[in-house]
Amino acid sequence: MSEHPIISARALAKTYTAAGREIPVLQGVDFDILAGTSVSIRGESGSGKTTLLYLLSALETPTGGELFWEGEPVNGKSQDWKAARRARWMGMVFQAFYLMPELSALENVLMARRIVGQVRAQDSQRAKELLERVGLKDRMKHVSAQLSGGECQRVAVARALMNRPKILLADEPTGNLDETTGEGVMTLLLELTRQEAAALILVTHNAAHAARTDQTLFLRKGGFGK
Amino acid sequence: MPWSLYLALKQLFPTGKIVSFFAAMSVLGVALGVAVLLCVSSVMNGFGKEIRDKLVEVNGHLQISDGGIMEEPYALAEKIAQDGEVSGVAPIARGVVMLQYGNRPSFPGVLGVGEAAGQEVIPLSKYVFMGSLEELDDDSILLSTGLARAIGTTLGEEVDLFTPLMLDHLKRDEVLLPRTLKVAGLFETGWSAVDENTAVVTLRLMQELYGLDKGAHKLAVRLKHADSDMGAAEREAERFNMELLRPPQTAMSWMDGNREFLSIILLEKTVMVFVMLLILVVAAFSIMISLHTSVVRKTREIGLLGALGARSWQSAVVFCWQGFLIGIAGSLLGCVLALVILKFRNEIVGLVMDPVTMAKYYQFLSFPADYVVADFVKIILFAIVAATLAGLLPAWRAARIRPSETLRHE
Repeated sequence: MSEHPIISARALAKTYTAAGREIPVLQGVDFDILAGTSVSIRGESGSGKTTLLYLLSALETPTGGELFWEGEPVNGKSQDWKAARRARWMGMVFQAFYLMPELSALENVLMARRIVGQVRAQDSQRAKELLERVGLKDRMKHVSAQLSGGECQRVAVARALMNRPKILLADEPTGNLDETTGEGVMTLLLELTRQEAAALILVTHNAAHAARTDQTLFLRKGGFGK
Repeated sequence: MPWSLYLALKQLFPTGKIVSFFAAMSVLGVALGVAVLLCVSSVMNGFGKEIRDKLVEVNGHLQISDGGIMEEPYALAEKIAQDGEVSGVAPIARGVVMLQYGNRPSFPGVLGVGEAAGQEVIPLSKYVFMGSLEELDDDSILLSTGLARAIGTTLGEEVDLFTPLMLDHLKRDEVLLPRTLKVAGLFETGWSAVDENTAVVTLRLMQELYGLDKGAHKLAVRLKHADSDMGAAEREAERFNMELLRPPQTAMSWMDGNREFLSIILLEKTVMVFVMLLILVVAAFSIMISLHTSVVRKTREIGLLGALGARSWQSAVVFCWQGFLIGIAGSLLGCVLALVILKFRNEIVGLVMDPVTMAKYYQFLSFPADYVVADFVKIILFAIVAATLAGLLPAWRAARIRPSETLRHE
């Protein structure tokens, strides 16, 4: 476990403007996550969990504060720089899976690699290996319509890990699954990130899932309170 | 292969399916547009080529006249024949006569042409399908099929020919009897303007009928390289006027002599192609609508691409690729479709129009077609560009999608 933060946020703030009104969502969030550790973020609906996740992944631009990826400031960097870095360095898993319906499970996993560059033989091998590890060895050629919700989420986990990311961001990854399936996916997510030595930021409502991470943070009134 | 191209191909031809419904309909739309354009263009080219060929075969590439009756046509013909670009020269005479078989008269145009040299310039022998051109002498006549049908005569029968010269004789209280001529052959060029009302006699007979003595109306000239080079006849006519002829002698190319007619054919083709281009524009428009719908439907997937690290312009390019691929596939299918339709064009046209009606209104017994590679290339390029442009608006829309907005709304 490294002592260097892989992501740091200092006084991170986000305010939305709607119908001429300013709505502050996050106000001065300080946050560090060390490489290879796992953190869960809990909070009430509308507390800004997802917004924070998108700020940390630079999908959203903060209205205040600073963000660092491995010590490098992210603010002021171009969208292309952020996208390229995100592709190679970060994996994301969402509640609704978001698999490409026209691609098979294997093609979906390889899609993450295609965005980074050419797919080589060892990439195909890794994608198959990941699908095998998430228990979908026999479903590689199936499209999402032929897979169950749990299977789709397992494909999404494999896709997020395809490029050997240093950090994985998961937004309610079990939110659309039943308890048993959700438990299975959660176990898989924690095991794989551990095996791949990736850090994990997990946004969840589920206290049991949160308890399985190294650290749990509560988001209240736009900031953290442990 | 860029991932944007890979994804575009996958969206058109998804895993587990041969082709998506959207792709099939879009490709078909472009293919139909391309096929119709190619068919119209090829048929119009065919009409133009047939008409040009017939004009040349009936008149030669150049016609030389001196504004009246040429007194010494053979001497000038010999001089013209010496030119390196000339493959044949023939004195000709044209006029209108009255032809009668039994009690059925007709007033055809008559062409008088010399035997050996004349055939080099105006190759009648290839159109004679009954009788023979060799049997044509000063006591015989060749009739076009339409003319023979009109007066009810056929090969071997005798017809009476009355010339305008008879009127001159009447004024002098003389009676010139009509010439009785044997029908030595029937010909058909496939061009009804000629086939309906034309007769051919020897130049000697025409000189006698029109009182030309040893003269002729014109010299018809055939050039060596003017069949493949459209501008050659005009260039040679100019050179003849500058170098070989003395006023009032003038050379006129077959294009000059039929400029108005040729302009109408060209205008017809241009208008037809322009109207048919609208089909492709409509096809492109429907591709744009389909792709736009696809962008709306795939908003979250586009957002996901951003989350996976795709630049916004890369996600947009996916839709341009789709338009481009639809254009390529549609053009290829359209070419195949057009070639099949053009191959069986006469059978297809025969279902809705009989050949006689077609000859009456369109001058030809069969539907001509001429495959001009440049036209094919232009139409295919237009289709591909139109289909690619159709992807631009959806692509722009895709580029504006913010991943964080689309991914959070579940």
